[in-house]
Amino acid sequence: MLVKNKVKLKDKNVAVTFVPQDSEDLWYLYNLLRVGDTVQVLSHRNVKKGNQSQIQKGKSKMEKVLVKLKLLTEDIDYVASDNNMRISGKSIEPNEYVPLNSYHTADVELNKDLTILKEGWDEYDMSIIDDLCSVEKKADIGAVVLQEGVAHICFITETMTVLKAKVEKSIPRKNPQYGTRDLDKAMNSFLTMVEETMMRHFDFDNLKVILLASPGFLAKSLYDKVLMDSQSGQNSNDNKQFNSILQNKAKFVIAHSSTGYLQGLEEALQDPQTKKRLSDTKFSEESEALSQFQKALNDDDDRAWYGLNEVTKAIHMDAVKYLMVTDQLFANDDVETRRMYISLTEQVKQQGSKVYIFSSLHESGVQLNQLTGIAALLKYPVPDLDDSEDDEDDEE
Amino acid sequence: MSLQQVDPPSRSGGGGMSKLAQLAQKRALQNNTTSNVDQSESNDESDITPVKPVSKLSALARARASKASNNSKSLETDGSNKSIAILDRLRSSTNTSAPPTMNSTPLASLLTSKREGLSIRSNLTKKVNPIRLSPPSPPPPKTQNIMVSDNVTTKEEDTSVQLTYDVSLDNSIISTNPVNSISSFLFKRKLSSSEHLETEDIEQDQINSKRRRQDQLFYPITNFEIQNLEKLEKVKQNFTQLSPDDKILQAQHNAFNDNFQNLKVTKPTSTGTTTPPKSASKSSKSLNIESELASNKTYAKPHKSFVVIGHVDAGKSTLMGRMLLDYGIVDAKTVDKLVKESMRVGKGSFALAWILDQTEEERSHGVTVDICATDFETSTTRFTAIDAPGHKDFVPQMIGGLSQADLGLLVVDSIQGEFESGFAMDGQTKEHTILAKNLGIEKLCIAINKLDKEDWSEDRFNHIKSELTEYLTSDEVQFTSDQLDFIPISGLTGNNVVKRDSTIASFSWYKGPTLGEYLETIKLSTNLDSKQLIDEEFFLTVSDSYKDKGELKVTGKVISGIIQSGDSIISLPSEVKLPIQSLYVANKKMDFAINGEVVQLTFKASQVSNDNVDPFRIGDLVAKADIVGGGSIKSLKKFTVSLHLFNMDKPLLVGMPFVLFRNNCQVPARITKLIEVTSAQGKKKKKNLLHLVSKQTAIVEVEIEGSSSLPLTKYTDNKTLGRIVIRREGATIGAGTVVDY
Repeated sequence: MLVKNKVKLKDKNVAVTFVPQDSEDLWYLYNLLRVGDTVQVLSHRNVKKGNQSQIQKGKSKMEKVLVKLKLLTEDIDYVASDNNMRISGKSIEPNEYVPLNSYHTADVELNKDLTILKEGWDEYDMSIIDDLCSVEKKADIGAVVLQEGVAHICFITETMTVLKAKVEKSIPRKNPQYGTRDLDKAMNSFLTMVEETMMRHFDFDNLKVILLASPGFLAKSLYDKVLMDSQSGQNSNDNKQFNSILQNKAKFVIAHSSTGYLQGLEEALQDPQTKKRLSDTKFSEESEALSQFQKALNDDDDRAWYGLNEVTKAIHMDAVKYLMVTDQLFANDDVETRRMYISLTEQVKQQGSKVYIFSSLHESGVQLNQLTGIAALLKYPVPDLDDSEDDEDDEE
Repeated sequence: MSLQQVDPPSRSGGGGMSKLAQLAQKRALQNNTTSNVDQSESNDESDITPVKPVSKLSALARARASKASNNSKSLETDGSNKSIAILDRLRSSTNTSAPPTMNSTPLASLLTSKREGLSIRSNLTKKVNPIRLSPPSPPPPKTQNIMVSDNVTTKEEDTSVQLTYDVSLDNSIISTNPVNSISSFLFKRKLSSSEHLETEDIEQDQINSKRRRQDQLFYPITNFEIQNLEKLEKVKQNFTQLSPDDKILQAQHNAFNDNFQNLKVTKPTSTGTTTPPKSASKSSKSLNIESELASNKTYAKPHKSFVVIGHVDAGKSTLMGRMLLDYGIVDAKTVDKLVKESMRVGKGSFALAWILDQTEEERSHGVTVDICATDFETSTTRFTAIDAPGHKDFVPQMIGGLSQADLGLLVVDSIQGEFESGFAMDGQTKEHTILAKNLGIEKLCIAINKLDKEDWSEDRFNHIKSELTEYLTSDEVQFTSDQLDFIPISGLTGNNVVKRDSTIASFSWYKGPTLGEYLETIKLSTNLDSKQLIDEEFFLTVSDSYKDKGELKVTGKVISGIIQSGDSIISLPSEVKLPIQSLYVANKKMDFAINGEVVQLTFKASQVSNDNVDPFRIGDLVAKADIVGGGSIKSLKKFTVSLHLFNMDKPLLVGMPFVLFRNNCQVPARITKLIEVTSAQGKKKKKNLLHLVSKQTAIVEVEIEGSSSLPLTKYTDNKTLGRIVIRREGATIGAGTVVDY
């Protein structure tokens, strides 16, 4: 992402212009932008050409025009797997084609300028901008989680896990009559399908790590097959991709997971072997914190708490070791709520404790969201944090 | 043990030992050294009382004393039974060695009569009674053979007397065959023919030596009773007339036919009860189920399906291979080939397991990966045997195996240290038994394997038995002690699996049935009430499906109800409707199949309209086509479950993904809502509870992830299909029942 310029406008608002460069940037933008912000963007609009009577008779021609719009944001939409972000809102600056207060939905395109005007940029916004501009290359992982008959092909970046494709094939069992004939055949074609899907989605040169995870020996079989096929395919017509696989052989990591469903990915990333390869990514640090929290919760030792009330109390007691929040809470459109969360995190930071902000596009974030989105691991046990003033529904 | 060392050829019954026998022997030799140590150790531990029965009783008493209070009751009954058995034996009464379950069954089966003969023999031996010449058996050839086996297996001088009885039939047995080979019981017919070869036609013998060697070790005739006098004579004559090869084939062929007839005649006379004769032919085409069920002989013979479970390397596949071999399902040639192959890669002891572990992956890693179901039939029972993987990673496949079985056969390794590691916290012995219990296995037989390595130590057996009983009846698993039975075996050498080697002196303490006898006699509560069957809804869970020559073949277990060939069915959740073209049970074409049977349905592949959808996937459910809407079955994405959690290292949060198993179907799922924690706990509950910890029970709403849905019923409608198990990060964390949808 490029941040082009920051302009302080006459009305004390600050306008920042961004140039998103990859899909992850869109996700940052999605988190940055809120309802009520003003956006300046170049967008296509279908415009009816012709005079009034033609329009009324329906004889007008539709034409796509590139317009520069200033929109007051009303809705933001983001689909990770499609690499697509849309902003809809009312036009606040009329022009030739778009009258005032007319609605428009703009696709945010990569490598095009987008200017955001906010009344106030708070600490969270600033931290996002800092993240955005960090020079170091983000850790992109291509991952395949598979078991016999099911495979998931996905991307993992700093902020998100995107399922790219799912391969399913029913594999027959060992059969006393035919032995393993059908099974071998089906297995082979399953692995071929996975391999092809992988090659279609992965750019082996740009990925940092390619993670293959499965129960048993399946991941190893896939790895062997991919290598064998690329070796034999080296001299064929489309040898380009095969070559890049062979060149990036060292990037492959074979990990263990108990299942081939997407949840197996989490397990594979927790694996010490894999962790070593992925070290110093934000992702692994976060998941470590979450697993510590879960452990404390399971031990029921009064150190793990979730829910806004409980966590707020703990913060006031200066008892928090880690604070875990999902980005969804900050995406709240209510300024007051948002400000409250920000002040909570600031408070914890001042106390010298760590704050982890989980991306709700990762599995860990999804889980935290289910736990009210805010949770804390305390330095010491505090029982009865949940005892509130109103004891009306005390009994189960 | 010493016998094997001194006289190895006798064990294999002839000059050339097969490699398997060599292996077994090698193992025995190794064991000799270790077992000596073990024995002295165990002697030190237990203050020895010289008289055997007393020491056994005292061992029991000690074990009982050390028992935890909650299961002491069960052991008491067990123990008293045993002591009674011992007393009874001293009083030379018969038929006491059977465990309680056996006693409860009527003396209907052929087995009981076998045992009767056995115990009488042992009594005689003890008294050194001269009346041995009058064997208690009537003329039928079956009993006769049992007598022979007994002779051969007891080493005392009475054997010779007993053998004279045989001599009248075939003197060659005595003259050349040493008395201590167990194989001679099961391979008698074969042996006798080979004796002839030796005495009468040495040249031919040499020519066919290779073939004979295989046959002596592996000759697979255990399904059938050994033939009678005329048979033997006929064989004799044949030998003078035909070339040995032809003769063997023919004898084999004839033996089958004749023995079936024999079975019909002898069984009722020897037992005097209702054991029906073997089904002679297929039933008529009429589809009056009620009369069909009553008349069709196949259904008089019980069907039992069992699954072999246990920790990795406990010897599950080897045991299964052994059973298939000894029951004659796999021929000796195949095994000999596998022995050679496995020796070549230095994994000789895997030969039997390779019968079932067929894929390259399984063989090179030496572990079973997927389940393997085999149908076979003995004279009393139709079996479906399922071999399941023991490795942690393949628990999902093992769950598939469990869902097809009524009876669990838990194999535990008795070797010092091995049992303990399989039974430790992350050992699969525990997880498998929990799953077995929660997936509705009604009986669990524990086969204590590799006891030859422990020199058939009774102390070791009892130690493992008491430890397992304590665990299995605990709150964690909740089996009751009458659901459990223990049998000592050695899968590799085959002792006490289908046949028993009575030459092993250190194994003389064991009086119970062999594993094979146990499986044939065990009573299962499979419901065969025809009225109820017809009223029940039909469900089948798919365990395998593949295309073959334009046919779609679907294998699965009938969970409830009845299905007829020609019926129209629907597969859920794909909702593909198809008429059944034909229907096979244990590879025999049938007109219908009932509750509990593993059946193969075939469909015309051309009738599948949409090629893009797999109409049958493993884990899918098949119901009658007219059931949709009206039945208790529903394909759902969201439903309510009463969930009980086991020990976990992490809490189960709302929203945390896990893999949900219903029968043999697995889907990823999450809890969407925690409705109520029902487990009684003194501690005050958090108001807005969003997580569950170990050992809690709760009512939760579960949602299936992704686009698929899961067909299921309420637990009250169907005990099998309304049951779920959940796993996360490679461990089983909970089990539950569907309460609402």
